[in-house]
Amino acid sequence: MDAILKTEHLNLWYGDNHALKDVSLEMPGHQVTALIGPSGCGKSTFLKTLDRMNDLIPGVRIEGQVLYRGRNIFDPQVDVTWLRRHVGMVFQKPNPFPMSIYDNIAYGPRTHGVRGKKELDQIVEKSLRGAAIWDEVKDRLKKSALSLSGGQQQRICIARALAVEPDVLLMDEATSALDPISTSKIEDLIADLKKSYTIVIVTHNMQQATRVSDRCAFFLHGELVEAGETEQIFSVPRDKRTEDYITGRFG
Amino acid sequence: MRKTFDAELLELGHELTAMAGTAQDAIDLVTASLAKSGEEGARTAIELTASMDQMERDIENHCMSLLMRQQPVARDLRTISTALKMVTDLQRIGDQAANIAEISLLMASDGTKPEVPEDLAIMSRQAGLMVRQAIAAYADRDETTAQAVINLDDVVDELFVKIKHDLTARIAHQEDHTGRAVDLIIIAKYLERIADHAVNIANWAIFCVTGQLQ
Repeated sequence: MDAILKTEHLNLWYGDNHALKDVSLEMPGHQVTALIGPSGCGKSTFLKTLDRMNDLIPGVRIEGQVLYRGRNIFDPQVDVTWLRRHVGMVFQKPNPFPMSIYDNIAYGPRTHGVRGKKELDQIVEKSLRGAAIWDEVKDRLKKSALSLSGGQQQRICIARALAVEPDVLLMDEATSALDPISTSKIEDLIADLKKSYTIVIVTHNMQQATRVSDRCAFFLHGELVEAGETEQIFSVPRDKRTEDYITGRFG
Repeated sequence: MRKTFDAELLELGHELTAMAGTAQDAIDLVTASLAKSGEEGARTAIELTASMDQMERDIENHCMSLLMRQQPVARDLRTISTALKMVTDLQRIGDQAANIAEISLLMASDGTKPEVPEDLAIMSRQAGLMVRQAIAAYADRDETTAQAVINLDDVVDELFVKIKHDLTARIAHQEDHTGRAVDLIIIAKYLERIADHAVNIANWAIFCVTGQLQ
């Protein structure tokens, strides 16, 4: 099990609030790791930390390490743009830019210096195909991305993340705002994408975690209570708190 | 929702307990009827085992409905999936008891009173008890009782070997004037199978608690 992403004794404070407590977790390559736990347990904070999206928030203090392919992402020599190119993020609410479908996808590659139209065309098609939405939008690439349905917008956001050829995809409740059909499409997509990418998702939907993830990590009050293979976590969890949470006995 | 689900799981345990109780009553009745050579006990036993068919269907429907509505995981999933497995074993136990009752009726029909070995009554009591205890172990999440049921199987197996030996000797010594020794061996074999099903149920009860299948 080669971990692409790994945290070691990761602690994070928002001011006095100790939001992540000594979290050590390995996220292996070409697998889907699901982060589960009740609201406020630290799973989204953990996910954002993997992409350095919260270390600039005032009052945030981080200790411990996040290793991406063996490199500590908090190393002063690590460029955040470089990190985010390799570790992409898809958010809970689809957030396409208010521009055309084409420009949404081409935005990242352009930022990274790709200028040639032919090359951009190829990237846009490949990314949209990768996000399983090419056939639905290929005839209206110049239309605004905001004209699409929520499920389509979310796949545009995934395509946008894929366009910079990342290594890891982080998804923060990427289907919670979608209907069951769109959710099912994204879940199929996740299963497909893990062949090429390492995926970490945050989900409140236990059935989704069982359907799409290979490994699961259960967070509670900022602690990593238990991590393991999804099948083990959902059939014979080791910790009673995990069992209580996944069977809805909490709180 | 959790409260409703817990109440439904408890109800499922009650349903299985009731079915196991019916099976035990059928076994007791049929064995008692053997010694008395009466038809009444055997017929009641057959009726009891027939009522287990409906119980089986009700429990299966209940399990399917819970799987669909609650989408259970972990222990909840084991509680329901083991109920589905156990109900089949209980149904088989009912079939075996009905088979014993049929033989008993056959014996009663020719008016001969078979000489029933004492050990057969002991074996029957043990088997019936094992069935009841195995389901109780499931309902109470009691691994120790389940293990005790599994251990009792050796006692039943030994009784079967002894009964078979005694009845074979009867035949060999031409003491089997009624020609019933073979029927009684078959009955003993049915009881031995009932005990095996009880062991299956006990193993499922342990799986339900621990998640480990023996």
